[in-house]
Amino acid sequence: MRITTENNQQSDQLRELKKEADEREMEKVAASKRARPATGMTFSGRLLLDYEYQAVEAAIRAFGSQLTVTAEPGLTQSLWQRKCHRCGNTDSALFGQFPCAVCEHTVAYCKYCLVFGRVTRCTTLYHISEHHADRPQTHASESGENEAKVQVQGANLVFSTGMQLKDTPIKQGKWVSFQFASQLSPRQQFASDRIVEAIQTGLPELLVYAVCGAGKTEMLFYGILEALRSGKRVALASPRADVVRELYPRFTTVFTEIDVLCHYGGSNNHDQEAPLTLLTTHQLIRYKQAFDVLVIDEVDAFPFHNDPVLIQLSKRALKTSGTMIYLTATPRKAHLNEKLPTVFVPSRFHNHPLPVPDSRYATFTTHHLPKRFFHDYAKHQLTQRQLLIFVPTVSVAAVVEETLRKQLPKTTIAAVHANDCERIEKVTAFRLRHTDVLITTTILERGVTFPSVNVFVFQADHHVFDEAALVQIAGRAGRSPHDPTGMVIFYHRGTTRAIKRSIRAITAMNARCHP
Amino acid sequence: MSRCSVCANSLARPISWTYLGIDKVTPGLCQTCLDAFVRIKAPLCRHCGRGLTIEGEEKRCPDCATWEGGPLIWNRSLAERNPWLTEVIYRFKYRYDYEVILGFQSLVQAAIKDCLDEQTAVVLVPVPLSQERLHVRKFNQALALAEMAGLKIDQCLSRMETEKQAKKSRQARFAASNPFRLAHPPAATTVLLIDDIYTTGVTLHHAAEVLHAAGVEKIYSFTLAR
Repeated sequence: MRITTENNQQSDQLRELKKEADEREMEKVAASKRARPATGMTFSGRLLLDYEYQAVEAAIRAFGSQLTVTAEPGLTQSLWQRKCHRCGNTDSALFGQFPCAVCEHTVAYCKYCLVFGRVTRCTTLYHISEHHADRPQTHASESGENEAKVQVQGANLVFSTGMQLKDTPIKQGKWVSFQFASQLSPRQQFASDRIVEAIQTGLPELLVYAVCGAGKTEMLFYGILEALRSGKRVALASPRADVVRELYPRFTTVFTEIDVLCHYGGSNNHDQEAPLTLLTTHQLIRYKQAFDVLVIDEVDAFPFHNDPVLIQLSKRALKTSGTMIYLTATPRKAHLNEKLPTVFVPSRFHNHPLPVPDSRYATFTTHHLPKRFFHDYAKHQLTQRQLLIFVPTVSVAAVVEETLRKQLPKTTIAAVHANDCERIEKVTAFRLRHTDVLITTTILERGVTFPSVNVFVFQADHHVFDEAALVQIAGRAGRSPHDPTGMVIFYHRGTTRAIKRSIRAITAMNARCHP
Repeated sequence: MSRCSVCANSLARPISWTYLGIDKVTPGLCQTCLDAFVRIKAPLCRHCGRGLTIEGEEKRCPDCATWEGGPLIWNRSLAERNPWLTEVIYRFKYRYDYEVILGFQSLVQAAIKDCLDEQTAVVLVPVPLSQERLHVRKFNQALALAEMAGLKIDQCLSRMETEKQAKKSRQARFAASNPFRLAHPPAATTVLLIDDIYTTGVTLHHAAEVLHAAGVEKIYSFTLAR
């Protein structure tokens, strides 16, 4: 009985948190609705389905010669292959067919990109592109609201750090306010300069290889500022909606005066556009030749890894003259073999070494947690940190949650997985230290920051924990400068190559900057 | 390899000649999806075919009092409308994923056969879509269900554009005027209306009224979900 009341309290708390989060979300949506009226840029680079196009046709026409509309077939079919021209899918298992009532034929449709609207054999895709490479001024000063800002261009630039205003004059009508107070570490500064340089010179590709917690986002700010100042359009694609939602407030506090668009599945703002777009990787499906600078976060991870379709999509979303910046903490061999221009940042922003994982042999049966775990748990309790437990599958997460609830009745425990409907609330509750222990599948392996945690991995020998995953997981610990260390323990039944290599990789990175 | 039409899990089959394409393979549902699918069990409401929890003398659910004596004799449905089935129907109707529904073919076929044991000369009438909606969806979901039964189909109804039923409240649905018109005279005197969901019954009763006025004597209906 007691447990249920506790649970009730907990869920009440969660509900409140959810409510707050909802309210915040509503405000954000309202703020984005207040955004400036449509400019030609609203549509440029978009790839629209016929019904989406019909809805905005009149608006596009109003821009007249500024926008060019090209129509192309949505899906083509040859004797042995079908191809969806929106997502590039050619896998025959991902096509279906149905009798179309409009054209009275049996037509194929693509199941890969079905959630973004159906592409069938009889669909036409409309690609909207800008007529002039350089955007004309007229539409920035069309509305009275903007005019005032155009007049004070330049004066609007606020540099809180010691950054010098570069000689290049700011283009007419482009105003960027930049408020970024914290100082970059020398290594971050080096990487940041390389990014700025790449954007200025229009380098086609740049790989930024920085350890977990190196402050990749901060390194990007100056590069993005440089791009925005020269009137370029920037997008940052991240594999997970959680990460996009986490990044949004960080970008809006730095770039206060421009519109930042946050774009993920279910965000309901697919008809808006902004000079700076944060989106989930799959949303790139809606763009073609749209961005001057495209930053791809975590290139080595799902869904990018091993998905040729998404790699194609990201290349298509970038303008031919654009710059692609890949960010990763654990590059795959393929990326290194491509010999891209690379910036390597071997240390964290607070300059403390990465916590090196311990690997322990421990048998783990379904309803029995190993003794070694409780031994380590006692040590963990002395550290005043929260505990993040990674498990390989959803079913294991449920079992571990139940067992831990029984064995540690005094601690608050939650478990999350990808399809958990309370996922956002549970993660928020953990971040606010309402829960002590969070059991998670690999969904929290990257991109998320908890200030002070210890990390345990159960069944680290499972195949979902590859080298990259384990390095990322170990990187969750010690991210805050106030608590730069943490316990990282891999429990396994026999070390795997991934475990050995991940530990070796972490030690090597530490050796490189803390000899 | 055949796959579950809903979740795309592979359906393990014993190796047989069907692997060579000699026998036509009908798509099916995997065990996980079949477990989530809840068939309506007797006792049923004698009018709307809903499963009743307590067996009373009435054998009629309270909602159906309004419909007694109307032109629709009864409705039978295949499955209970649980979250899983709602999700499947959502994908079918609003994500326009036509093939999702094909896994239900053998179930629908058997269920229609079951509820029609004595009527032999029955014609299936799918509930139509308005032209506007048909242009967006590019298929009629009721026709897709009717085609799975393998019986004669007569598309004798047409529909005027109205607001989506799914967006209306219960009261608004009852207050709405009849959106159906007769496209051509019905070909039979016994008719089975086909639709995807029976919620309040208003749609099916409106369709039944139109058919009744056109001289159809016996009107029944079948839906996927109730």
